[in-house]
Amino acid sequence: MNETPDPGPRTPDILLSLENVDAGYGPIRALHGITLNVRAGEIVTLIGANGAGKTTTLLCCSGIVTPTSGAIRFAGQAIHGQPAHAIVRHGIAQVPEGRKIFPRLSVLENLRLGAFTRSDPTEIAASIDHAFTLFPILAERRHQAGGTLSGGEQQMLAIGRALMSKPRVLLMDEPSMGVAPLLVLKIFETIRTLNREGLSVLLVEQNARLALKLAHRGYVIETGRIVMEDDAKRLLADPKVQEAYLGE
Amino acid sequence: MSTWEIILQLLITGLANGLIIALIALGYTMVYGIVELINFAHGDVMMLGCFLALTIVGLLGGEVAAPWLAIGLMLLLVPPFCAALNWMIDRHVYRPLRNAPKLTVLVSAIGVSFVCVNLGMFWGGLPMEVFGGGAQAASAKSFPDLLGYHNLLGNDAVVQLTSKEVMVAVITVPLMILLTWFVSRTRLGTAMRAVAQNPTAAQLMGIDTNRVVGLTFIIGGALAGVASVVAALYTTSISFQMGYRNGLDAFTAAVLGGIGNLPGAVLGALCIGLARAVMEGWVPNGGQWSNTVVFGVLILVLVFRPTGILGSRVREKV
Repeated sequence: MNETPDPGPRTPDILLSLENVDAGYGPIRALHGITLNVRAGEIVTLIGANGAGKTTTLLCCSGIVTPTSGAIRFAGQAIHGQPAHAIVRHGIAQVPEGRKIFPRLSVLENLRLGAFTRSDPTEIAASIDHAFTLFPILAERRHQAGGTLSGGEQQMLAIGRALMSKPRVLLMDEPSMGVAPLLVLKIFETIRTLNREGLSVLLVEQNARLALKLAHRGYVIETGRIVMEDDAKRLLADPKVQEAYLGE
Repeated sequence: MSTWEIILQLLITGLANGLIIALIALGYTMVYGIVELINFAHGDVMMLGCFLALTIVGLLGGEVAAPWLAIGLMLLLVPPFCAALNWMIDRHVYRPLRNAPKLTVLVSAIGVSFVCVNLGMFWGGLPMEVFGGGAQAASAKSFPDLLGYHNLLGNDAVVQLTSKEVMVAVITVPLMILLTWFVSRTRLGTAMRAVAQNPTAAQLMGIDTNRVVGLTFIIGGALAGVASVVAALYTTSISFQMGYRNGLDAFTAAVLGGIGNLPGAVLGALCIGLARAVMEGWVPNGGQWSNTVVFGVLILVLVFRPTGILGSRVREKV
């Protein structure tokens, strides 16, 4: 591994940070100087309209999209420019938009792939048991093809699969999308439990009210720029946020 | 020959042909499954494997002094050669075009095919005894009949089952079983299926998709290499144009079985092998029409069932 010297500022408890990140797709620029951070043990939410750049921000953190400028650091180490498969090994996992379950692999195979970066079979088996404890329905469906699960079950599988790499920070993209309301509550409750066990979370959500109720802090993104940053409670009470994102 | 004897004979010839086609078809279908590219150079990689096999026989002094040694040596050297060639083609031609429009890659594949065909013609013109001393580069070369003619059913039997057919089955069937085990049971095989189903999600799992794609080309190339040795021994004739016919058969087999589907490729190949056997061994003057039949099958499948026999997908919920 080639250790990049780290000239930027460091705060000890900041786990994941984006500093002035620009990114885009071909000639289209999706992010303009995004700066945000996630501290150890925090749930941070990124809210904003469709196309504001929420998903691109998460894809940059995972290395699927490479920033054109700016820096992304994880535990102080620069990770921007590294390929996606290498970033997972640092302890960053993602529950991607639309879940991206492997449709023709079984639930068990999907989970095992989540542990692709790990090698100890006993520890992997323990992680699978943990996923089954969090989401018992997955245990019932373990031999079923991922593509045959309901939207909510697929979301649970996507979360379970992401946890299989033993991440320190979990990036979640729209976990409520296409999921029945009762299951959404169950999934958000699980995120809270995982966070209490020490997992840091960066959560992107359309359902801003639900996200801000769960999160410690929040950022508001508009057309590729961070326009607000505050405690989640204060954002929830902010008239501008209420008008634009909470439908009041 | 009674009707039953004719049917039995066609089955034996057809299945032996089909098993060879299957090894090539597996390479087509695996590569398509993972990068959605029809690797038109695949049949020509197999053709170059045949030329390496003939070169090896030539260097050993031709003829049948120690046939099993020669066969063993070919099986040891030709598959790695084809695997390396296929890997290089992907690494230096297809991989730089991974994000280019599909048509660009497809045309490049046709270009690679032309390059390979010309390499084959050049190779056949080398001044070696087995190539006819370089007299006619483009002419078909006869491959020494290392296994000879030996009817296992007895010299008086009407139906012929020779040691060649047995050799084809003994080499190809275990390879297919091994491949099925690898793809369905091992960690790397599961990673291959994951990359085929969703490359982005596979990267998020920590899978290096470039390496998995490279591995797919290596496995496909190695199978084509084995197919080239088996085909050369079975048909005892090779030519720089043989990649075209073998590629056509294998490609049609892969489409017939459902492109991207491994058991489908084998099933499709057995069907094509049998169809060729019927045309060449039973229909009067059918040999002239057997290419037409294969093309016809390809067109019918593409029109009426583009997903092939086994290609129906699991319904994916969005």
